[in-house]
Amino acid sequence: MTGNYDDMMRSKLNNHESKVPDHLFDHLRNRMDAEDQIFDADVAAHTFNFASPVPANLFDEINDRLDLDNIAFDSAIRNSLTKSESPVPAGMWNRIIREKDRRRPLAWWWAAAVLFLFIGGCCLYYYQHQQGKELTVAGVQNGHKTITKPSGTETENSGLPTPASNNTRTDNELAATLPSIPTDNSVQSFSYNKRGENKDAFYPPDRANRIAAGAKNNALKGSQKNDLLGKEGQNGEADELILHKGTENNISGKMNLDGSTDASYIQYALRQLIRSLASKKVVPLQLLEANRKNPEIPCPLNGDEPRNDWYLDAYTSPMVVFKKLTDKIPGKNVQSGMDSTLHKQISFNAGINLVKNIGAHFLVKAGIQYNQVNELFRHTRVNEIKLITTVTIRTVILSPGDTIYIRDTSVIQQIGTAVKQTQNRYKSWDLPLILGFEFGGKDLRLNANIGIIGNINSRYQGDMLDTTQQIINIANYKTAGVYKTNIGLGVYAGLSVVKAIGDKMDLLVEPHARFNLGNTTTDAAWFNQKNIIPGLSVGVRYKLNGRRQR
Amino acid sequence: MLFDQHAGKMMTICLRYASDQMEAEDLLMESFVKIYRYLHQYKFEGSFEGWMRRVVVNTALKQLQKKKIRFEEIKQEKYTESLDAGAYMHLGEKDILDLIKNLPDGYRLVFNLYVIEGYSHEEIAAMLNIQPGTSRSQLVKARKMLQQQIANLHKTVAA
Repeated sequence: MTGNYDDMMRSKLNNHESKVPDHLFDHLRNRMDAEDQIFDADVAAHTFNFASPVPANLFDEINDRLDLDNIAFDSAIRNSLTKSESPVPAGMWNRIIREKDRRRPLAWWWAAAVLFLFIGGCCLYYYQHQQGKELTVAGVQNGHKTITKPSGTETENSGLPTPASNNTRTDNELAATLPSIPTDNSVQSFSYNKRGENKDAFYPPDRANRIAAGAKNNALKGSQKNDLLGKEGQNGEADELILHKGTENNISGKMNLDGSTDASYIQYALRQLIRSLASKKVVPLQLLEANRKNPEIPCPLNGDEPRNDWYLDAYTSPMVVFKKLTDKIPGKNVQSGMDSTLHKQISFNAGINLVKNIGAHFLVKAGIQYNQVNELFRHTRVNEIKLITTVTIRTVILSPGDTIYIRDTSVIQQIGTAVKQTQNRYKSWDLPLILGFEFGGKDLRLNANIGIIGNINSRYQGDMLDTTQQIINIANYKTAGVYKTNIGLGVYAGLSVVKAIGDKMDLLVEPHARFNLGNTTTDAAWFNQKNIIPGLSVGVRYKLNGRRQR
Repeated sequence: MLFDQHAGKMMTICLRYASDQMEAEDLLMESFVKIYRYLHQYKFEGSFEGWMRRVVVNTALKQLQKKKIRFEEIKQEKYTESLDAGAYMHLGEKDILDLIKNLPDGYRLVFNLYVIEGYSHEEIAAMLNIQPGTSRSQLVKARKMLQQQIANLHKTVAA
């Protein structure tokens, strides 16, 4: 029963609709709108006065893009100036031509570079040629008389001199043909000729000559008289490199033939041979060549290492310029005027030199260097008058369409102090040629240098005061400029300290001074100037080869 | 002759970029030396005068860049009045040149490049190694300063 009741109630109430009051929806909508409005008003009240950050220049940009007035303004300015012509200063064309010509010395740079390369190339060729000659000598030696030692019979080389090209051998081949040096007391002798044949005598030619002479005169008679020397050996023309190797007794025995004591030479030659074998260079043959040119047997140096042959110096130097001024116009004190306006600054030079050692103590240096002298020009002018032009335009409208523009120009004079400041630069390229005298040991040497420096080209920029205390441009003064574009020769003197810092590198420090022989000023200038330029060069000296000067 | 024909116009350009007469003369000399030296590089594309102008402007820019110009903002009085065209329509060329010459270096440079030479801000920015925004800002300030100067002249007349 209860279940039936529930079903009945559910079925009746499920689809039942109650009556809704009239305008309920409108009422609710109005109420919601009011709340929204309150919310909106509230939000607006909070945000209305809030200022967000605006990107910088936004306004300017907008203004720039949209402001038509600006376009008209720009257009007016552009139209006014595009076709406008201003008066060109008198003499401008001459200045341009002169400046154009003045810069032409760029060709000089090329010429100097080519000359430098040419000189360098010649030096390199000379060096290579010398080396090649030595190698050729080593490879081509003989083809003349060959001296054999123990045979006791005269052995004559019947071969005629053959072209070097057919007989040139490599160092390796030469080294391979040379026998090793024994350490025992057995007597071993060898010689070496162009065909790589082993001979058993190994003497320098003059040594052989002297031995032969002694043999002829003293000891060796009859059939033995030519044991040690052929015909050419007697004439002192033997090209065979001959060296005895063996016990000291043997060496002494040979040397006593001519009564001389050349043990030290033999030892030296042995040492050189050992070194040459180690480095695959045939130094004894070089010694032989040297001997042939010079009858004196070179003695080994005691203590100090022989000097290197070629060096390359690279250096830079701070320097200060002292001017020696003389007035062309009496009564004008140029010195005081310059002192008050031109202020010294650190100047510098830099360059490279090729150095050739000559003999035991002398050397010659030549190269190229760049100099830059810096000065600050500062001039204060009091009571400087500045004129400011103002343009006044008045518009008078008499009647519509009848307008008069009145344009007045007035000038405002302003008196004050003006400071003119310019960086003056004096640049030059020079070719130094220096003779030096060197003394000292392997690690530390002193050089006394003296020479000449020839100017290639000089350029200037900057300002200075003329005789009327007016500022002038030193490059353009009276079209010729104040200073010459080529200041000619100068004298150089310096004392350098060279310290070895490696096998192939030396450190170089050189206090020096340079004095210009001629005036650096042009005829147009109102004074004469000579420069004395002391400085301190610091650089490195690089050994270009391993050859040694004795 | 090339020089006689164009020197006056080129001198005007130099005067616009230089801060004084002497600097302008140096610029003109430098420019003509370059023009003669690089004459062979003229490709006959566009007017010859235009090519010369570019050489002069580039020379001026190079010279000015050595001075390391600072593109700084200079405080100015707020100027809101619109300038009557009549105020500048009757200014002479020399007057305008003088007014431009009185602008600070940065303003003058950007104003010249944008207004007279017709470069865009992006191009100016690339040439001077600055931001395009800086170029715009400098131009607006330069223009305002010029207008202010012209307005002041006008006021003086009115008074």
